[in-house]
Amino acid sequence: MKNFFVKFVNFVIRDFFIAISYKINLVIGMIGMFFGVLKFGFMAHFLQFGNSFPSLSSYGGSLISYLITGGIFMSYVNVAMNSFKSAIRSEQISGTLEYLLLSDTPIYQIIIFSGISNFLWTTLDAISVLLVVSVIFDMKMNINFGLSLFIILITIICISGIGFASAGIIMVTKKGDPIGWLFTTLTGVLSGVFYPISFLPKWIRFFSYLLPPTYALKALRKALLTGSSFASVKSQIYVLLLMTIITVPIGVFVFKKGYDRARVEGSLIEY
Amino acid sequence: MAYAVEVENLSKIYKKEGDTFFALKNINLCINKGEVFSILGPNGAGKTTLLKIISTLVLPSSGVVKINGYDICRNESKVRRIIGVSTGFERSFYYRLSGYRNLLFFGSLYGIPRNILKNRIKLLLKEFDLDQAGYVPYMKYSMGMKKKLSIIRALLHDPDIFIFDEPMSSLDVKTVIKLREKIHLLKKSGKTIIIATHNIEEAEKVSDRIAVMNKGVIKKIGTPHELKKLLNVKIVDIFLSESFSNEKKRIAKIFHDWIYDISDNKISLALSNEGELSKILKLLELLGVSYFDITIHDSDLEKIFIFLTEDKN
Repeated sequence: MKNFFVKFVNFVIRDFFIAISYKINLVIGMIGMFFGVLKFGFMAHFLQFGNSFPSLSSYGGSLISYLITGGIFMSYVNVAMNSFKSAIRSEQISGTLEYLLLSDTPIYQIIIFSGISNFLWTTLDAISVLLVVSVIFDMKMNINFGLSLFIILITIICISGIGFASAGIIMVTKKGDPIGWLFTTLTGVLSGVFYPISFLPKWIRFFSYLLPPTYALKALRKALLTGSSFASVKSQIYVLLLMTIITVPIGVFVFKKGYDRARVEGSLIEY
Repeated sequence: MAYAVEVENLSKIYKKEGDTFFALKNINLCINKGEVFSILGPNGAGKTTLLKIISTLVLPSSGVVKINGYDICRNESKVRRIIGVSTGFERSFYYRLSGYRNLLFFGSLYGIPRNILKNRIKLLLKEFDLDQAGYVPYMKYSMGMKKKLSIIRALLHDPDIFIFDEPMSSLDVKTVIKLREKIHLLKKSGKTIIIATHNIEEAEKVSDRIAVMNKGVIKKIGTPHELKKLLNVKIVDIFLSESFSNEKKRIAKIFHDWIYDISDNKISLALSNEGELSKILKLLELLGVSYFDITIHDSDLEKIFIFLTEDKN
């Protein structure tokens, strides 16, 4: 367990040093993030002004809050979907994947630890966004912290299952992953990220209910904006847990297949 | 006696666009513990594929490979703990990080306590004259420096078996001598060292035994002395008369099995015994080929190695 933690910390330190070696990119990224939040906030403020949104009443009725939480959630979906496969691709490009494996670090640890920095950056990003928006745009939040964190955690695990499958495909194709593309696109359109799914035609809504983010987003918004208790979001959490039981083993299986195929083809560090 | 490496009926087949290609064909070899063993062969002989299979990075198509008794497919984790690998690839470190920070990262993955690791890195960087360059980003390194860093990484966790792919290439003479000494020291301390190289002289200088490999097949295994004896062929230069110099190709076809070199009006043949020489003289007479001189001499090892491993077809 100690070794696990040591490895985890060392991966984070490695990524930190690589990130600060691109100083201008880091500064531009932070400034860009700030202006992105402002743009988003002003747009929502403009739409909210003089209008009411009864369809958002169960989330407190604020459009800003609705859009911001949707945006933050979507960035977690993107990270859970993409960080593993981009970690694999990055190690393939730098040629370090084989040496990481030779260090007797299991492949699952390599991709999780390599992707962890992205989750940390996203969390930092999310906290900054929430702070800026609540100060500048007076976003009303009533956060149930424990529940919000729990929902984010199971969402990440659930979507990471699909992310693992995506990384397994990248092991073989090197570039181009239909699973990741399809899942992220469908989530953006069907999961209620920027509008409630009640606005979708009935026959399309059926597909919304097949996507884990639909449940996660509903539960997270309630926990973040209205301080809802576990009892009021438990049905979404149970569905999410059930989906996790399905996505994680499938993701691990597909990844293992891709990893073994790369070893059979001798293409571990090809890209 | 248990071997450090046992390879039994190992084959590796790659399939690309419907074609099947044998990278390794029925390899059998045993490497003793504490032995320096070189795999010698031209580019594309299958040396790197063999090393990658031994290192658990590539899966074999058939056959068994055991490292210190552990099967590479069933006990890959145990195998990885006892091997240290340095490949000849330029890409294998993080470009933006310094050599020192790269080593610190990779070393930490082996669970070496931080203080011990830091001291070990400093000592090794100094030993390989990288103590100043250790703090420079890897992307600024020359080929030789990259190679040295790769060797240092293989040494970091003090494994039982070292696997070096072309360790001497890109290194300056001073470092080559130092590395040779290091290999001797490692051997003295009971470590097993496997080296893949295309440099016959280097293989001869450091190895207890050498396997000559070509086209995925091991041609010969023996001590450098045994191989030298085996390679003890004589080169016969036949200087053709002017009237036959245009027929070199036709004549070369007839002497196909012995051809060593062809140039201007000269055909060189490699003969392993005197009986072959009289056979060739008779053939020349039979064909009516006239020549104005024949000389017999020894060849350098490298050319003989090429002769042994080249594709006569």
